[in-house]
Amino acid sequence: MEKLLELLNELYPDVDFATYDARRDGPLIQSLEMVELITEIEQRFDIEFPPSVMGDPEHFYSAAAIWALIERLEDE
Amino acid sequence: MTFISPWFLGGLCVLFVLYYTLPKRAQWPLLLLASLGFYALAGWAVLAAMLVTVAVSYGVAMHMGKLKIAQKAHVAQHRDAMTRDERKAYNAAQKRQQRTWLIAGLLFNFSLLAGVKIAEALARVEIIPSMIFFVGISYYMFRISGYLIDVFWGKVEVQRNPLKLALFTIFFPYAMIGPISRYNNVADSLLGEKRMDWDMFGRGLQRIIWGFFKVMIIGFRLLLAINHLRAYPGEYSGMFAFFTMLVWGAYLYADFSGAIDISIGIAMCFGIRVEENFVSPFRARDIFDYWRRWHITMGTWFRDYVFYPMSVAKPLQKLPTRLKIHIATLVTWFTTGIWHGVAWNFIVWGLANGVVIMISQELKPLYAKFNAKFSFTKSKAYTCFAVLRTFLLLTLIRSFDIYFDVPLTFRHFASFITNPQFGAFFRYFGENDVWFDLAPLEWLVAGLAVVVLIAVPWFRREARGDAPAKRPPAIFWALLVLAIFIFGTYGLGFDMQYFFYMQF
Repeated sequence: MEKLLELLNELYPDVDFATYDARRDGPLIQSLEMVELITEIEQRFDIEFPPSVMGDPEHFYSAAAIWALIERLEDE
Repeated sequence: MTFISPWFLGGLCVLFVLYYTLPKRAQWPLLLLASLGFYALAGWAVLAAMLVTVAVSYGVAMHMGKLKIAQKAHVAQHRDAMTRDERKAYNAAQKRQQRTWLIAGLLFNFSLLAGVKIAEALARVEIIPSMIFFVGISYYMFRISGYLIDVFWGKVEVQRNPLKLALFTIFFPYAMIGPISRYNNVADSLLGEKRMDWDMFGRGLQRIIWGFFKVMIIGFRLLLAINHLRAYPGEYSGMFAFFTMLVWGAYLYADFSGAIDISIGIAMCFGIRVEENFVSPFRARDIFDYWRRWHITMGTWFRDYVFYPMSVAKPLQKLPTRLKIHIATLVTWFTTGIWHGVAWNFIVWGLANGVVIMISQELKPLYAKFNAKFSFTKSKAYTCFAVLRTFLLLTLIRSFDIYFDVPLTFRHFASFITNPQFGAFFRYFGENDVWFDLAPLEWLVAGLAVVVLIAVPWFRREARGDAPAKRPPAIFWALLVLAIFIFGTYGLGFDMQYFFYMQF
């Protein structure tokens, strides 16, 4: 999780991901930025993101949600 | 047959009565029968093409479902005996097999769609004599193909009843014009048993009235002027062409979003919720915002099924991220253009959107710095400027579809500068009693209706998913119905019965 927070803080230095939640704070990224974020995550965590999860906002609401997804993908 | 027909409206009333009086288990079969009947009226070939598509997609989805069940069972049974790498390799092999089936299904669907689109293009340039109007084919192809991809991705359960799958594919309110619904968004609502919900029924009726208001008072009326203006493109350049582009935008919005209002309203009367397709598109601040507000279900379809898969596709993985995004953006918008038809105007329209999106994306950091440095960018005036800028930009991009002639459209853009015809344009209104085939009173009616459209906020809020704080009073609806009867466009000279977006 720390590694993910580090990455998110690099990409979006103005956002506090310890508390950020898109459902409350509004969406941070749109589809084009989503590709940037996913490419970074794929490289750092050595996982493959299936396109099926990219259209589901619930996987990207918060750092915790992204982390849960990474753990799931690592396990698959 | 379209929504604007006494036969359709009469049939709809009978259907409402049957739907809520017959046993609830008969509800979805009744809707399927009605939808098949609706399609049969468009022609037996159209109905046959749709049924074949559903049958093939049903078979492919069922087979992928079986493979998935076997895969899960195998992994569950051998979980402890397999290493993580072995499990991954097994899952990857299974996925490849399922992907082959998916590709076969999609190839079948899109070959059929491409065949129809190419035949339409050939008929347009009279290489083949005529072509049946395969009404709504793009919409149902995209709906069922989206379902196939979702089954492959494991996002939806396989529908084991082919008749239920057929209903999802051609449910008549959205069959011809959209929205391009997703199976997981509508299946429960569409196939479930419904009790009469008077509140929802009433809101559905209001939505239908609102749609009729847009289509019959604004849309059909403005189309007469559009047809006149595009009949003399050489004469109407400069300010005339710009005026045509503005009227085209108003027409297209009234016609398309009005038809969608009717579509959503009819579904609501059956107790069925389908996706919204428009959220105040002319309030967009930039092109990204615009495409989150206009033809939303088409935009999300291409985003989820073309843009995202392309952007994480293996062949592009070695490219720099930004280049990858730009390639995926251009391909997505090229495909979106082709979806509308095999014609240069649609292709250029799609690519123009793609290029503007790419440039806007590259300029984002610059805008962010600019916005941080200058506080006036947070003012309402600047927001208005951004909205106006976006509106004008999209007005230009949208205009490729007016003349179906790309070089002519570019010549019109150039004429804004080379031959603006300011004087001639303003003199035209003084020198003529009828303005572009419409009497001044007709323009006044259309103009006032546009003001009502802008001023009425209720559906805007509903479209965002918030419960409207205050509903319009009954008198508002009564006046709207009265206005449709008095000012609605019927009869001679107003015989345009097809919505523009039905051709897709």
